[in-house]
Amino acid sequence: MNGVAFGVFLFLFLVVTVMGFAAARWRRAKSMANLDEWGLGGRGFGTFIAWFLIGGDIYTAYTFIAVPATLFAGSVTGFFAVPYTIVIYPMIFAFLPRLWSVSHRHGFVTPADFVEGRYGSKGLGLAIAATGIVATMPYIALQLVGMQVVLQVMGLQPHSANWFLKDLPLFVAFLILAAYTYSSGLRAPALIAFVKDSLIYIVIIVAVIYIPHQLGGWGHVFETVKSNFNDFNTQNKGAIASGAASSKAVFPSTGLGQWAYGSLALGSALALFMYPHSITGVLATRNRNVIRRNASLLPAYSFLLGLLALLGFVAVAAAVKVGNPPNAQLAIPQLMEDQFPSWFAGVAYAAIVIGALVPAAIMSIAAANLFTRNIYKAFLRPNADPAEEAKVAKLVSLVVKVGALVFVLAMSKTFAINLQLLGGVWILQTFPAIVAGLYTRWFHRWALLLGWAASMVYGTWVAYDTPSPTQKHFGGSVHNFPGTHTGIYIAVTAFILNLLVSVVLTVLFRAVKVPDGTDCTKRADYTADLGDEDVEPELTPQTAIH
Amino acid sequence: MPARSTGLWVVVGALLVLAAVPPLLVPLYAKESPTLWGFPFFFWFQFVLVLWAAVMTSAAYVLAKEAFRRDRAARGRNGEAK
Repeated sequence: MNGVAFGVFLFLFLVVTVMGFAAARWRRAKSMANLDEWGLGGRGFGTFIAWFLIGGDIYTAYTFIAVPATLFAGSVTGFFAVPYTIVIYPMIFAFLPRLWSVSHRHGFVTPADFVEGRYGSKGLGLAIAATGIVATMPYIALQLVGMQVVLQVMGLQPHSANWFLKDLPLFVAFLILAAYTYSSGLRAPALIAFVKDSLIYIVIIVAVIYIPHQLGGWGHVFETVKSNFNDFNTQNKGAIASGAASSKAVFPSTGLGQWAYGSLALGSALALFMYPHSITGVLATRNRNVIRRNASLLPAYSFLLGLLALLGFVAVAAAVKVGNPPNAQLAIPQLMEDQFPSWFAGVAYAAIVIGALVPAAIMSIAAANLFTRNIYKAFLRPNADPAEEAKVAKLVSLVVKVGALVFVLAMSKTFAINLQLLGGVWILQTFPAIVAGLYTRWFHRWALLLGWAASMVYGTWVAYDTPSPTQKHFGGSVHNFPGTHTGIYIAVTAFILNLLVSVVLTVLFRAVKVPDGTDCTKRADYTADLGDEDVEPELTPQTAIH
Repeated sequence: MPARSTGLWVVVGALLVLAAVPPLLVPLYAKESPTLWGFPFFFWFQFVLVLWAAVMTSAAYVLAKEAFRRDRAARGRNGEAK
């Protein structure tokens, strides 16, 4: 362990810990005992804060560790994160202002609240909520994996056979996160996101200029990677032909690779803003304009993300050692350890760990909101008052984090990206109910439910049935499209099935007049903005005392 | 009373399509040359697409704001008068 690096890391970690607890007093409302305050930070964030908050949602430890790791491992497919984060903003721009409006009019806190109100179906709401919770778990787990590899490179992982001692630093960091999320709610990650993004920006900008310069420039990096990959492909010709290894490439040169690349980008973009935590970030904004303005400002992050992803290639050129058996996820932290002076390595470690804390906090809050509103209140305690809702949500945020911890300790960590992609397969199946619902009530509630069920079963089964050179099951997120030999993102195939079932059954149910639920929304709700009736700047403006 | 701004919304939609579709046309940019400062075309072109998309969505933002304002003026504050 390096004392200087650790000291810098510890200092920055303590700073955000203090900020996390102090956030409870930031933009303070008289009472935190309701979900609008604890779970949505008072619904009053402007462009500036929302930029950090939504950015904190989208660019997580997944970004910092797993994306460069796939490039390091020789699969350029991981670079799909760039087109994915380009495609996402026009979609946010188009769909989410409508969700914001209708949610403000009706006090919806979660996407499942909206579905329940729109279709008059608690069952459909439950399906959306359960999917959200189950899909968020591996995403939080992924943040933990990100923290774990950094702690490992820092030498903070004691060499002990005891599983508890081995991951003790992870537990400590997580306990602190859980404590301030519990007390400050969404204000904690919103405030910490400033620090997180400032650190990340500094680290990445320095890394993409300084490290390639050390290694002879970007051109040299690409040349080295190319010859390295060619050597690998030549040496492992037999294994690649028999499917025991994958060939490496610097761009998807075949039609097959391009289909996988494009479908992953599209599917992930459609899925991302179905995640409860992205919707939490969006609903916490002050007005419709904030969302659209952010959609035009957030691409700045994508630029950085692309550069960061390429650090995976830089790590190849720098011949970074990633342990035995090799763990590609160590590539980025190890690259920083090798190349940076120790004080700056400490800054880089802190950036990644804090980069994991912010989204983990938002995600656990979003999952807790879902449980409280769409399971607890909808089915268990219909008379729960706002104070009770907030209390339950706070406790559930703790349970969700523990669940994610178990996820990390129980499952293989070889490719954290696949965990998230499995969650992506599930969450995309809530798209028809939510997005179609923003525009039309044509779909029948039971048709949507059955379409969702069919695609969930299909997607999970196909993901299970996908082998990789190292794993028999859950080996990847790309599978042959039925009837072809072209692999595309499983979530997209399942999504098509979902739409087909929903459309066919809607026609059928309408023909035989199966009773449809009542819609509690009206047309004007979808374009309501701040200043309209029932759309207040903060939900309890007279009690705001900041 | 100003007219409804359907035309503006069509332009907004077109700008969003222009931002979102090119990144999905992978064969368009999955090639190695021409390189730029050592970056293969595949990579630098996607960075250009990020900037392109930012410009398109920013233009869409400005137009949508105006269109939304006109629509509100046309239909009254809470949208009851249609």
